[in-house]
Amino acid sequence: MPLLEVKNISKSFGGLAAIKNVSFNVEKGELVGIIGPNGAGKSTLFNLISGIYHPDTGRILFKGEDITRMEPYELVRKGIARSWQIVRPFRNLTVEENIKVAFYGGVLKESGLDYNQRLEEILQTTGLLPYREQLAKNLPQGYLKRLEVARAVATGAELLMLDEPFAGLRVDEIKGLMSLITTLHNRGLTLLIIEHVVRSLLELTKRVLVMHEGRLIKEGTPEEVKRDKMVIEAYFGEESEVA
Amino acid sequence: MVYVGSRSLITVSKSRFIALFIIIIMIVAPAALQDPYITHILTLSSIYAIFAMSWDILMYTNQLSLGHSFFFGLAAYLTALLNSTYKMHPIVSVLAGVAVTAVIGFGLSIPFFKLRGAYYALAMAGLAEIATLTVKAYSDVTGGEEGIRGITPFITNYLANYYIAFGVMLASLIFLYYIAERSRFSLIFKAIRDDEIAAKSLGIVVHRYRLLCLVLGATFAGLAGSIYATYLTIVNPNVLAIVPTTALVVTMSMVGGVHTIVGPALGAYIIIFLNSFFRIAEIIRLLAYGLTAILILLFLPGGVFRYLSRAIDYLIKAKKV
Repeated sequence: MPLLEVKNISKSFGGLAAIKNVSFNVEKGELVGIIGPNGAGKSTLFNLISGIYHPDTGRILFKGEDITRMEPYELVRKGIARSWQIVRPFRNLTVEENIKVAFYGGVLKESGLDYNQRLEEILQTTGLLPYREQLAKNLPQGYLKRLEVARAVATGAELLMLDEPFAGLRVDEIKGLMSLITTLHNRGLTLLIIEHVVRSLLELTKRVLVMHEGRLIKEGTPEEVKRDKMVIEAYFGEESEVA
Repeated sequence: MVYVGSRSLITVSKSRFIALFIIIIMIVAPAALQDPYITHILTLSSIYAIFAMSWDILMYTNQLSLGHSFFFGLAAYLTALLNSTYKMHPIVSVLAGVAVTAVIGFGLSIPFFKLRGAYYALAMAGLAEIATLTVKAYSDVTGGEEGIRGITPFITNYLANYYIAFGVMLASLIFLYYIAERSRFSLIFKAIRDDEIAAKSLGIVVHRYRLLCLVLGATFAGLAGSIYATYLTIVNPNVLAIVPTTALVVTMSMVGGVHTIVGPALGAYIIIFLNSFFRIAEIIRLLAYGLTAILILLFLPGGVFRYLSRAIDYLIKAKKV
């Protein structure tokens, strides 16, 4: 059984169809990328899976359970966590406190795990250990992105959904974050990533979904996607951009 | 160094020592002074301090209420009615007033569930306005504009009244401060205040915490209103009205420092004392009192408590060096 099943979902805002009949599956342990030009509906798709919006039609299943109408906090308890394209730290809390909030909201509180031990692990893995006492509002952008990932991990999620994690980062920061994502994936987490920095995403993932004007127009390996004529026309413009 | 959040334990223990010192002064000074007027002002300040803290706890989850006088006045009227009309014991009438207000606070969370920001503030203001007009209209029961008189007090001794009010204020302060600043709710409240959507996306059931703050806010506003009624032995529609009662509690909290619990309590003492002090200025009393409040807000924008805390921290550090 797939971990996540998205079945024929559609969503309109007013008269504008943002998502049109989108279907795909994500298997446990996979790292799946979603790409597409601006306005393709990627963030709306994330908002639908994470319960911020509910689809007009279609169903979303997680481990076989229908989660279509669930609220964000219910989904976190089921094991789905997300980060945001524009980071949303709790600015007046320290890095450590930001992560603790995720402990309180997530599934770890029921697992009997030692919070302090888990906190140390997360701070170590995400490279935030030296900044644990710093207020989030004083962190540089690269570390704010790491904090987003750290909080999502702290919920105890099985499926991490990262919304443009590389946006606005320098090359060295992107490399650091890619390494973190690879570490999390190697530890067994399932990841679904939306990204505009296509080159970085294609290096990370083995399966890519391409969206255009609210539809899923292609699904395949990075090599297949890069060669697809429809994808090139819709998204890349010229093939040389991704070569 | 051992840390609690971002504050050192040394600072925390010194703060406790200073707090204990202030409490001792507040206990000893009225008995030593034996001044009924100053003790009356301190009693009134203590009652308003409970009310101001109850407004502040709502602010911990971004519930800006411009009608908080609704809970204060409702409990005051309920207590007055039970005590004066139905001749119930003052303690029973206070407990009943508080309990009913808490239940109404809980009930209000249902229609107010989705309201945020200005919409929430205006809905609360509307509620206070409706309640004010209602008690004015049903004069057979509520005494109309005149209100209800002849409420039996807990006790007639002015010092005993002060110690009751101060004791309840202190217990309320310790309880609310613990919930808002020292319990695990503290982090969640701050997270909700910073970014409600991010908190939701991390599994925080935001409406549950908003409900908790609303019930706490209603309960402690009710407690203040009930004690107010039994202390002054009279209530009138002003206790429900946005102006002066909600305006007063908002000013107290702003002057003292919102989101601190201690600040609004301190603000209540400052505002009640200022109000009393400027009584000597007769005609310009309101102008002088208003101007002083504005000056405090302009020059100490985070509230007096924050500046006081910083000054104490600075003095402690300077002494250590």
